[in-house]
Amino acid sequence: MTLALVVAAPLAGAIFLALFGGYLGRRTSGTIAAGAIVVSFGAAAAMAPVLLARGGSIDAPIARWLPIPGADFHLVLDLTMLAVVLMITAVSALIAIYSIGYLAGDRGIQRYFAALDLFVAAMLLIAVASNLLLLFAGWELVGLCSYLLIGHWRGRPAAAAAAVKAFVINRIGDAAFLVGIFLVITGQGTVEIASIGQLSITTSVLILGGALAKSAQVPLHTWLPDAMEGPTPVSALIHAATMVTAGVVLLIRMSGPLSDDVLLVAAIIGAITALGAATVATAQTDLKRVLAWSTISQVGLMFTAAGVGAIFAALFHLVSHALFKASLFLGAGSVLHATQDEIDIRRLGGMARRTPWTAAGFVAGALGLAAIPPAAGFFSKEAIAAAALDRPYLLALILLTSAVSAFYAARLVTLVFLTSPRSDRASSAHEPGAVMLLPLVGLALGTMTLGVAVAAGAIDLGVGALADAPPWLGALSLALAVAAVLAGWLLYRGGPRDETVLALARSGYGIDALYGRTAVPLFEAIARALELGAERTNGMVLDLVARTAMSASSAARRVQGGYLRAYETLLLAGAVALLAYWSIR
Amino acid sequence: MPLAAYELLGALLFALGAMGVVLRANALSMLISVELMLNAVNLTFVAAARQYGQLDGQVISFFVIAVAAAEVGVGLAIVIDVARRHTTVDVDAASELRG
Repeated sequence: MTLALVVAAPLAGAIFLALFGGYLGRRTSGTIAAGAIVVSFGAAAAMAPVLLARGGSIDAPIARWLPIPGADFHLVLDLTMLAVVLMITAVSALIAIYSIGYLAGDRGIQRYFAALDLFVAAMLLIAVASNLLLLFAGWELVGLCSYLLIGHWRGRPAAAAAAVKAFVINRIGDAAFLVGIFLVITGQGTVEIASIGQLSITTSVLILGGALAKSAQVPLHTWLPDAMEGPTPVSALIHAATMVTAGVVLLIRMSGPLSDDVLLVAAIIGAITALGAATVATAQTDLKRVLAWSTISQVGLMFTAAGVGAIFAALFHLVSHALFKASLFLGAGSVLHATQDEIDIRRLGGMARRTPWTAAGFVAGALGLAAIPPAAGFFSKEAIAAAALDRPYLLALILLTSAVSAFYAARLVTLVFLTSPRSDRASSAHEPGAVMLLPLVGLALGTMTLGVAVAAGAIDLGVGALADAPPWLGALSLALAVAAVLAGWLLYRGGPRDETVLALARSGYGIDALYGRTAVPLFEAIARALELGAERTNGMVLDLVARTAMSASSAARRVQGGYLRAYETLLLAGAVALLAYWSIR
Repeated sequence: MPLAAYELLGALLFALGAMGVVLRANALSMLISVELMLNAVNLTFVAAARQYGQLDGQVISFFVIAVAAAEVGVGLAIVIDVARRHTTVDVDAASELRG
């Protein structure tokens, strides 16, 4: 039952913290939360030798659930998902430890850690559920936890609005996914992922819709930049380990049954999202929003890889992205922590001198983002590019995205860590404590070593190895990346530039505003109409009840005349009537 | 004398008492009428006990006498209170609780 422990440990941690967190100290609750995830990691790692030795998968049937074939509490773990589970638990544990330092002064920290553990448990459930319905339970829990954590600072109206937005947009995808599952039940007669056959186009499209919303892909991506309102470790968690990768995990697990045409559509959507979001990221001035758009872009690349059937490339990029994006977010969190939440990169600068360890961790993440060896991002992006070799239009989009990513990574590092401080907060920054630096350094080391290890075959992800890419591809992508980094450095080494020409890109090409002008007012109008209708109906019903009661009581009060003899007469009449009734019966 | 004669007398007394309760406005007359009703019932109980040679009826009539004594005690207390408040024992005067 080691496999059950993988999900049960963080779940137990979440329940314990939700019930008794209030009695514990802040540091204790954080330690329990991180410890639960470490137990989960240990359980997963303990299964690794068995799986690597004999392959196949480990089954853990726990209990029966629904009277639908396959819909049981049943976990299954194969090599592919083992890599994902190890990545989720390792990155989440580091983020939990980091949070102990980052949120040390926060009053709701027990609530935070309970939600964090539940988040991890839910994500692990998505990776190891044997069937679509159990997976969907994890899917919904992930949505719930993202709502709780994005809105953690509930006193802030912007955080509350962002939490609602994330939840509502995810519901759109969830609804599609659920209908897709219903179609799988009627069409296939089972929800067990291993025994689902080829799915129809409609079913595949619906399931893809769920993946698009959860992974923040066009056109359901607008919630992710706003989700930056949550605490920075939450952003790291959502972006690296637990939320946006859920869609990719779903595509990887369902890549067999999903229709090939729909998978190709996913690949094209992913590639377009990747390039579009990367260009938006170049124009952002908010440190965390640059990273948010970069996540949308990088997850787009994973969709492309999964869509063209390159499961290895998708998985490799998922893991390497988790490492470098977590480094970037934890580095950004340290910058915010050091500068009392100065988030505008135009007012930062020179942080490398003030906070060298943070800078080192952040730069390691940025190298991953820019795909420069030996960072893992270089190898995983090359794997994706190699997978798209026979589709030149996808290859072009991927290479362009890589170049743009390298450019904005360089812009970010130059503006935040190089140049000179442009505000008092930036010039008086101090390095945070070890509890925040050690997770950052750990992730940075992971970013720098994992890629080499996988590329050299030292670590087996369970779905083949790096495909033999032509040497010109690696050289070309490296040349592009270096050129883009140089361009970014040269353009921004003098400080922020006038970027008014990029206003359209900064707004995310106006998609969010478009939704704000079309879909949102439409639904608000529907909601208002329903509210009004409900009020009218309520009023009518309540009026009727009140009027009936009033007329009944005014009839009844006539009996209460206040004359004793009238009461006596009624009493007597009642007694006589009863007697008469009994004697007749 | 047959049992029916006692029962007829009992019923007659009971009806007279009931009429007195309903028709008289004087609280004291009403109390007396209630006593009449109770004793009408006692008469039938005792007669039936004698007829069937069982003591149950007599026992119950003792209970009724005891309850009647308590009832008169409470009733007279109420009558005195009504008399103090309204300077009359006319029950129609005490009609503050009309709805």
